[in-house]
Amino acid sequence: MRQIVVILLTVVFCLFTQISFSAQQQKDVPAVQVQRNILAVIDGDEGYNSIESYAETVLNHLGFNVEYVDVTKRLPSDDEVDGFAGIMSWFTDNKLKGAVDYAQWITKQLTRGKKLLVINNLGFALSEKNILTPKEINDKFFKAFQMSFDPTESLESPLLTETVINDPKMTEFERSLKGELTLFEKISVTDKSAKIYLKLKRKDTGSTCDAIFIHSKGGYVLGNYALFLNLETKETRWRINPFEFFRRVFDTDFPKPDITTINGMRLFMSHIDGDGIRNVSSSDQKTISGDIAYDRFFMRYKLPISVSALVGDLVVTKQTEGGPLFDTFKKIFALPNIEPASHGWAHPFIWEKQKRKMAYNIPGYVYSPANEIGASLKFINEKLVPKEKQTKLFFWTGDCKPDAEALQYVYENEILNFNGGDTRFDNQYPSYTYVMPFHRHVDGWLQNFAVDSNEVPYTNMWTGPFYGYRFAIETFKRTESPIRIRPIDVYYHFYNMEHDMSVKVLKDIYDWTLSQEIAPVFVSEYIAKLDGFRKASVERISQNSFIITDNGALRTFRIDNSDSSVDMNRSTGVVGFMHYQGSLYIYLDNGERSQIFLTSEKQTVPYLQKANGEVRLWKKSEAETSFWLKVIGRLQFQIAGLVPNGKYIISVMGRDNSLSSDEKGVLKFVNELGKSSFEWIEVKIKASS
Amino acid sequence: MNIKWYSIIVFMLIILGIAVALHPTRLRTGKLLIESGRVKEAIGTLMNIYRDDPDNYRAIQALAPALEQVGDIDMLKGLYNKLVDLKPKDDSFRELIRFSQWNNDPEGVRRGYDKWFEFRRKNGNRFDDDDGRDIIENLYFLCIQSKDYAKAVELADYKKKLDPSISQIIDNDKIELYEKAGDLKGVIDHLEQMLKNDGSNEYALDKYLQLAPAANKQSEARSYLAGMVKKNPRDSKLRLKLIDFDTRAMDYDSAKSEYLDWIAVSQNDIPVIEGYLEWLLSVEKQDLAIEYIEKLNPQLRTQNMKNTLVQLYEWNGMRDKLVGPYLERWRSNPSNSRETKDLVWMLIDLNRFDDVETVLKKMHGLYPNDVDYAQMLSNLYQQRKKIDESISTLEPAAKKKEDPKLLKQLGELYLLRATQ
Repeated sequence: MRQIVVILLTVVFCLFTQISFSAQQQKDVPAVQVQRNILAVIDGDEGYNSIESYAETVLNHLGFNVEYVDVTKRLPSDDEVDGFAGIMSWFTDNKLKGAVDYAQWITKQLTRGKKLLVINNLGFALSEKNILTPKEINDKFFKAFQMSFDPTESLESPLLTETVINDPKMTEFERSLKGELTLFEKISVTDKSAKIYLKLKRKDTGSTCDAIFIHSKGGYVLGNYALFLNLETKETRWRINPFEFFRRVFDTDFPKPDITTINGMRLFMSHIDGDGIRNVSSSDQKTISGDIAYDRFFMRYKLPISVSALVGDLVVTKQTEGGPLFDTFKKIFALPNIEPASHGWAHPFIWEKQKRKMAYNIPGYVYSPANEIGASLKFINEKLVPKEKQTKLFFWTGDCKPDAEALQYVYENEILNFNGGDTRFDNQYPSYTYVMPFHRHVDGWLQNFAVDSNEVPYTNMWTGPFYGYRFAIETFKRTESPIRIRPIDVYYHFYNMEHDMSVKVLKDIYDWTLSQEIAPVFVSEYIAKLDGFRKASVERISQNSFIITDNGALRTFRIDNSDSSVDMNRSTGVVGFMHYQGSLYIYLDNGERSQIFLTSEKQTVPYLQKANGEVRLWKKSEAETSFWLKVIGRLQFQIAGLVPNGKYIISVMGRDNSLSSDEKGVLKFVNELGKSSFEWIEVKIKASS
Repeated sequence: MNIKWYSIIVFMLIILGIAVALHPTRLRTGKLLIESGRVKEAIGTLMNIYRDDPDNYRAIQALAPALEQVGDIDMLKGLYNKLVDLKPKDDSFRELIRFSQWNNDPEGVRRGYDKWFEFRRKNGNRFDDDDGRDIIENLYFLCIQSKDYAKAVELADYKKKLDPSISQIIDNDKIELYEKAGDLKGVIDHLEQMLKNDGSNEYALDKYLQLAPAANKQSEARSYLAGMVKKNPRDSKLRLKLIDFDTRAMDYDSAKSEYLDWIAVSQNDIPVIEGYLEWLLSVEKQDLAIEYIEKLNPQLRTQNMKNTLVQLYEWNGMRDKLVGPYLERWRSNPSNSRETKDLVWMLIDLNRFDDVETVLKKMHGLYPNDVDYAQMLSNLYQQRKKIDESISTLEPAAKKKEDPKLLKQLGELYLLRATQ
């Protein structure tokens, strides 16, 4: 008996340790931090930053933050470099202060295993004093980068150059190469595993040039084969497909934070610069623009609109509290769908210190960030805005190029900044090169760019045609398809109300946006999502499992080229997903910690496929699925994973609605709401008995 | 009052005439309505005229701005295009282009400029007014943007006529345009013309030399360049271009002749001679380089050339020729033991034992504690049957070092002396 007990105890012990060990093994799988930052090395003396102008937009789309370092001033330590997914350079010339130091530093980073993407010049052929970098230093770089280069065979003649290998999907994205093989260098990639997208040959000597390639060390694009630039008209087009090229160079196989989408629907916002609120209508010559905007848009559309006041307007015209303009502002800001903001005090046209110029010459006013930004917000909060809607939102004015001092001020005072960028993507600007990145970088501070252009560039600086802003819809469409790269921002000035035509166009645009599947937010909420984009941390547990933390207000993540589903039973913090444009969009219900498990299995438990607002308290049980949805004007959602053609009861705001799922098990619900304020609405779904 | 009946008729006719004259036509009504801000009514009136007579350009002229005010741009596109067909004049074209620009229609802009350009050209109009310059300038850039290089070349000629001060820039641009168009004959003809006009255009000359072989004009290009060299025999750039041209054509004999001629003309200019030697080496004519340096007046031989010659002897295994330079090098710097030992071994191989002895004696004298030199000299003496010298050379080193091998060797020398 004693023996039996001992055996049994042993068995129990073994089982227990086995179970514990398995559990421990499961728990201790090391998560690998996904590097989401690209180190962009620039030459501050070139006066132009092609990475910021062209590449950052694409890198942002691929989930990367971009950090710039001027290598003429400092070379980051190895520890610092370890925090980056890779290094990118796009030097305009081949001359660099400290060329040798840079060459040795970049060679070292390559030997340490960092990926490098070189576009155009290597940058270090000459020092600032035109001294050639020694051959042995160049050779070490070429060896580390696995390429060879012979400078004696340079040629600039399309007549003597032909293609040997050309993958037009990669090399002729927005501009064909026909007639434009204008540069040849004798370059060979020595990495046998390299993928060459463009290989050229000199017809006269037979030499070859690996002009565009991706290899184990990163990637390379010779000269102007990345970007077409018409030097006369300054028009630009991508030659390479930057989305594909950058994706293949850097490791992008991870859930990318996505600022374009909320629960599957395209993020929408609208904002107004405060200029021209006093301008009268050209048709009746008396109604001011503020009142027209109030009547025709703010009251009429159940959409959130972030409206800024320009304090100088009130000051220079000696408006008094209780006067008509104060009243106009107060009634606007009292509306539930209006978010107040400041458009400054004296409205700098030019922010750069040496050239600073103001719209208003206000007696006693001296420019400082505190006077322009802080004081204007204080004025608006104290005199125009209801107590419960105090604002910290500032829209940059004029050229929208604030200096570091102004940006430092807004960050130190926790003021949300917005505007600038002037993204357009239409017939006139038919290229992704005109889609600006999320931010402008100024000495380490970040200016949050507006999503697209306001009416000014469409209307010849507001000289007509006053219907010009209608073409903004082209930009909205092209930034949605084939790649959803930007949200929609209907952005204009108060003076847009001066003309019946411009009012009509604006109405058409709002109506068009309402015909789309949009998830409306205020600008401040979008900025919070940008912050989430910057800070979000992604850890890889396995090929199909990730942990997301610190994503803050940003709740959408995207995995490109994926037909996987989210395993809704295993995942935590995930409320749903959808497939769109070849990508898997995943929605989280929190900004702290979520775990995503991917699967190839079709999901047969209810999950959110689309909703036009933020979701919280997602709960599902066998009997019922429930959640809260924050919406304005319209309640719209789609639940998938239901029984095909099943009957369901949707309980919303105390009313039960009987609906059927479709043959794919998807249930769609749309209901127009009466209020024009954001509401949290509880939704319950259960099978009809 | 006696009023004649015909007076009444005349009076009535006058009144009727005035009424007819004063009564606004529908067109005039439309225009008046626009002026008074009643745009929608104006559009209604003008549309009626347009429907009745779709080719009434006056109606279109009035209707278009009215439609623009209300933003009916879909209809406007057709109207502005029709207007330039019905009434081709500068105003009509200008309006079409302005409208296309404002309406995000770059293709419309291009079409407008194309039509305007053709209209002016067909009518023999000049382009030296503001509109003309605008047409040429904008159409030129639009053609480049849309890769219509053939037309861009044509427009470049207009640009040149409009501003002769930028002729050379335009001509250079045309080279690029022809190249982009893939027009080899065009670019060669153009380059020949450019060089005929201005032989000093280096960019054109370089391009011509680069492209001529591809156009089977190798000999013409060479003749041209040779002619230039003949005219400017001291122009080193031209000389180099010709040599480079011959070299690329692998005509090394011609290139060599050119170099020798250049050396003669330059009166043995050292950099030219050095350039010649570099060239000989680059085309792997090492034998000619050796011969040339050997025959060169020693006064003209720079240290660089001497070093080159030694290197060439080494590369070509010409050990007998290396003796002199190596000995000279050793004499000027005997402290380099590696070079000295190389020299010794080479002299031994060549059986020049007197020279070996001279070198080793001097080295042993300079470095009496150097065992290697002592041993080498001792061995040499032994080989030359100078046993006493051999022993006296090795003895101090062997005793001091107490190296068993050296001591053994010394012992063997003692035995050898004893048996002699």
